[in-house]
Amino acid sequence: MNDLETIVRMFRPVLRALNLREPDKHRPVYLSQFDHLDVYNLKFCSIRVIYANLEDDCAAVLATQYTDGLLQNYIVFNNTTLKGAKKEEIKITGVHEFCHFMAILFAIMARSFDEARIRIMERLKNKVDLLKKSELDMLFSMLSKKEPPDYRTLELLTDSHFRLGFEGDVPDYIELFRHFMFSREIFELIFDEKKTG
Amino acid sequence: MAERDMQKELSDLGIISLDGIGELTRKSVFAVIDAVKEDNAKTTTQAEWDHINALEKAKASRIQGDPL
Repeated sequence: MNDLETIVRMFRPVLRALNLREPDKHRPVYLSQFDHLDVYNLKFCSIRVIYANLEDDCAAVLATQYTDGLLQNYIVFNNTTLKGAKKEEIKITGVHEFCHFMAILFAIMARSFDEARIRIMERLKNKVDLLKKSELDMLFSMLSKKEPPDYRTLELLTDSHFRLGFEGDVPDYIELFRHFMFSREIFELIFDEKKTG
Repeated sequence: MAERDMQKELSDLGIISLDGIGELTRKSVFAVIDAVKEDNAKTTTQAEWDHINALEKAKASRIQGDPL
C-alpha cells in the first residue's frame, strides 16, 4: 500500500469516526465497521480515545495492546494538559497519534502478523517517541499562522518520527499527517490562493 | 508497598507498543497502564469478539446481499 490518496480515502472515515474533538462522542471504533476496509483483513483491530493523568510534558500517547487475538489501540490524551485545550489542539494531537496507528497498520499489512508484532515489541524496548506538550504548542502556533508552516523544523513532525522501518513502501508520514489534518477543500483553497496570489 | 514493575505490567497487559515511552517518565507510563486497565475492565475480550463478529456478519450481508 503506497498510494497516499488511496490511503487517506480509505482511512479518513476511521479518523472521522473517532470524533477527536467531541469527548462526548468518543466510542471504540472497530475496523470491521467499514465495508470498504474488508479487503485488508483488519477485523481484529480497533482504536479508541481514553484519558490519563500523564505528566505535564506529554500531550498524548498511542498505546497498542494485543490480547486474545485483538489489537486494541488507545489514543491516550493527557487529562491534565489537554483539559481546556482548543479543539484544534486536540485534533492536532489526535491526528498525530492516528499517524502512529497507521504505522502499526502498515506494518501488519506488509508482513505476517506475528513477524510485525515481534518487531513492534522489539521497538518498544528500544525506541519510542514522545509528543511533548511544549512541542504541541509550537506546532499549533505554526499551524495558526497564515504563512505555510515548515513542518520539517520540528522533530516530532519528521517522517522518521513515525516510521517503524519495516512497514514496507508507504508514503511520507508528514504528507499523511497533512492530509489527515486538512480536508481536500482546505487544500484546494490554499492551492487556489497560491495560483491567484 | 512494593515498587511496581513497569516491564512486567506492560507485558501482562499485552502492551506491544507505546509511542511515548522513550522519554516518558515512569509515572506517565503507569498512568497509561492504569487507564488501559480501567478501559479493559469495562468489558471482556469475548464480548469484544462477539461485537466484531456481529459487525462482520452484518458487513457480509451488505456486501454479498441476501441469497436468492
